[in-house]
Amino acid sequence: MYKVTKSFQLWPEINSKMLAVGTIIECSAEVYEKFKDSLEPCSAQPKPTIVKPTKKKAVSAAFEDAEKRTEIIN
Amino acid sequence: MGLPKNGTLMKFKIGGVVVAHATSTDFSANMATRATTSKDSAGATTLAEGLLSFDASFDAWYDPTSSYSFSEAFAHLVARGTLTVIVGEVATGEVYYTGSAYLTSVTLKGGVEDTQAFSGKVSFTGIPTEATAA
Repeated sequence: MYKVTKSFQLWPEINSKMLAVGTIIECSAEVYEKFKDSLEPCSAQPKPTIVKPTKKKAVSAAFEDAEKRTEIIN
Repeated sequence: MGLPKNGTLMKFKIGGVVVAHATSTDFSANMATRATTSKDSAGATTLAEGLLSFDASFDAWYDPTSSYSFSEAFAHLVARGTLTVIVGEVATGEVYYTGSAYLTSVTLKGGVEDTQAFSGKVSFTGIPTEATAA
């Protein structure tokens, strides 16, 4: 994945649009070589932090009406 | 026995550029058959080999600012030239299919309060090559 740093036309022969700065493009090494002055590799995105719910929370979320149901059963 | 591949990894690349926002990709290899049935066929159809044909298609969400969108597909179709098409996984060591193809159909569609989408179909000229990404 590459980010456009300088606006350019991928296919001037068909008068394709000018790619705006900031556009993300996934392309072959050949395309990158051809337009490397206008592209920069995207930096690796930091992995999102996964916040695991506590067991207590997970159980209470899954059985919201657990208390109510217990009452009914009793 | 390995794990079946995740379809998300199957990309559709036209002219070296991946179709952005793709939602599905297809590649099909076909062989037509020719009839050889005759009165000597004992009442059952008999066939022989026929023409090979290779097609591929993609569906994608429509984002006019993306690197390959409906505008480029439309212009490529109208230009009526051949394009290098790659279908498959483009990560190192993975298999893809590539060949020279014509864009034969592009469609732009939009429903009420639905995400606009576009799709394209290509027909390969000759037999595409099975290759491994380096």
